[in-house]
Amino acid sequence: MDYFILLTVSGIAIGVIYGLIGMGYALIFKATSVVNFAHGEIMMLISYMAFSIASSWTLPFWGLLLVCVFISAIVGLVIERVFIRPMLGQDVFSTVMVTIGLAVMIRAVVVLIWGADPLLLPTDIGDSGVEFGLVFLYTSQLYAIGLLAFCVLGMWVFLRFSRMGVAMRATAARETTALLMGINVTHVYAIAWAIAAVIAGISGVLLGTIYGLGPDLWTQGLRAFPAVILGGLDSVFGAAISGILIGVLENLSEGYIGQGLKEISGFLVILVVLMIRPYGLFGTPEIERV
Amino acid sequence: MNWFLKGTLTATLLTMGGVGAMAAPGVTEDKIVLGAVDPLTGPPSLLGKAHSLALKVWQEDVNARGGINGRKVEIVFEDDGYVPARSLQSLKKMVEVDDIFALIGTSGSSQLAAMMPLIDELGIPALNNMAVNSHHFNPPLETLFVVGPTYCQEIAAGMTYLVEELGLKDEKYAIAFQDDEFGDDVRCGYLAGVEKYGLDNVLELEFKRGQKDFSAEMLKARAAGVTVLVSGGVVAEHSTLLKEAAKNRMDITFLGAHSAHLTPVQALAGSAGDGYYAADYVPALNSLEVPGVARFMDLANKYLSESEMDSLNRYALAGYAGAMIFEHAMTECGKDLTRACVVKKMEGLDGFETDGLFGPVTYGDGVRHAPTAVMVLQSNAEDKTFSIVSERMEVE
Repeated sequence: MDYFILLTVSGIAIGVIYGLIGMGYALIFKATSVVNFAHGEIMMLISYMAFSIASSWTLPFWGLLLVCVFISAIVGLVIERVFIRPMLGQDVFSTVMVTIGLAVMIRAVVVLIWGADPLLLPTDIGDSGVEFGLVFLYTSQLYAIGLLAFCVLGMWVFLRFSRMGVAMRATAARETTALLMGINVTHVYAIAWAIAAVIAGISGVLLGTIYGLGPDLWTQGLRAFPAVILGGLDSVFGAAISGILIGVLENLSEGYIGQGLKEISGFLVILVVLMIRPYGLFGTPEIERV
Repeated sequence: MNWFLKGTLTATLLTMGGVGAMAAPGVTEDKIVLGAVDPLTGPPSLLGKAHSLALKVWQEDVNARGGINGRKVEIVFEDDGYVPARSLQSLKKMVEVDDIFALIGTSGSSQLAAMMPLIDELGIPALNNMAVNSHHFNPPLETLFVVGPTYCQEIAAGMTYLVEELGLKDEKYAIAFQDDEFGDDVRCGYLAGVEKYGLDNVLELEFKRGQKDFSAEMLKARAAGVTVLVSGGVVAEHSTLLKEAAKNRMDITFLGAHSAHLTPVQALAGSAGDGYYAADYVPALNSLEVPGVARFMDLANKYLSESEMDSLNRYALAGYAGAMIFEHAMTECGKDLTRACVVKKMEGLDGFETDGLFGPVTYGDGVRHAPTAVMVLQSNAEDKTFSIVSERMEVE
């Protein structure tokens, strides 16, 4: 039983990171119908920026995170304005191709500026942690759990009660009608990109603190992708919950079966779930009137 | 007049032909052009930068000493980004455009494999001291020399140390190795050690290269009661394994290959990076008691900038020692420097000393691999250094 608990808790610890990354994917898709293939790279870019900030100024973890949130929002807005907005009116596939190009570009820029050596994101929480009975968790992992809860709650409040949130939901439901109702759709898109980048930034800082930085950090974006599909591409909360499910599933499959099943367990679950619920666990079913 | 023109032309052509027949590619009256293919960009640039900087140090030093038999050395560097197709392209460029005499940097294992057919076809003397794999010398190429043990030999020697010196025979052994050529080679050494000493191999964990989270793997190791873990992961993977073990309060002895003998591993692992072992065939940069290291560090301080000094690591020592071997062979050829002569001199090396950087280097007729002796180093995380904790061990 101890073994099961340990596997589950450590699965949750990695799963919350998947969940955070997945929320960013889902938010962009929900608002713009675009799968942002550069999301992992944006996360990596901000984590490297965090490295530069943390190396230049002595900031506590929360101070660093706050600065990174601000920078992430700017990064998101710039990317939307420079790369995405010119694609408005083009088919979704073209915009997706732009995000793939952006991803490759960010990977190259990161190596160009920061080099390819693995780096440690210097924060004041370092290797500290807390012991709960037989479970030990790094402080950064505890923060990750708290931050996921905060982001989920924040997104719920934002989408449910704020004018911009309601506008975002309206745009996601039917863009043309939203336009006719006077919603500034380009504004909605920009805000969606900014929020997604902020979530990416938070996950980047956490990943950098827990595992260190390297030019392959973007691959964590790919690892989180099954969570988005499982939760439903347009479900921000679904992505968060599915991230945890995938993390736990990966750990249990490795712990009890092994044989590389960790790598594919997430995708296997997606296959099964999508056969039953093609729109994911929490996604919106598409209903066509005929 | 006609006969005079014909005669002059014939004499000129004969002279040119004569010179062409005698001079080796890349060798002029006052210069020798050498080539080095290294990964200078991308994640493995950690290796390539250090290697190329060492070659630059050697180039400056050998030229300051008057060159090789009066000829200055010029090294052409090409970045292959650790992509085999680019390695071959780089070599072709260096042959056709730069007219290199020999290849003194051969990038990674697969990268060299991609270049081997061209090296063999053109008979280019080449020395690999960076990433050793058995297919580099088995079967041997006439002009390709390899120095250093394979990862398999390195880990097997490291396990000898664990059992014979540390007395870790009755422990529970496990290996975590990545799903590539490197991981397989480390596993080969691990299994050799297990078989040789009849060790209790309780767990073999294969993981995907680039994996970040090892929580399940290390919990599995803890459940199996593992007390000695051989790591077949490179920098980030190795350090994450160490951190996970510390997080799970596991009292475990770690052994890695020479890829663990790097300060970024220590930096990423933090306090968990203290005390692990790495098997290597070159000493640490801080092993100034070794004459070769002391000399190299003096020269590096002289010729490299502060930021370049920060890029040095064990691959710099391997590169510098390799250059020493090549310098010796070229010097032995005298003024009449040809590829055939260098190959012959290399082949004749018998116990060649590199002031403690490598163990004695020996080649022979049809023997193109010098699996120099291995030592074990231990990590001191606090001051980011490594201590030599074993004598050099001959590999099997």
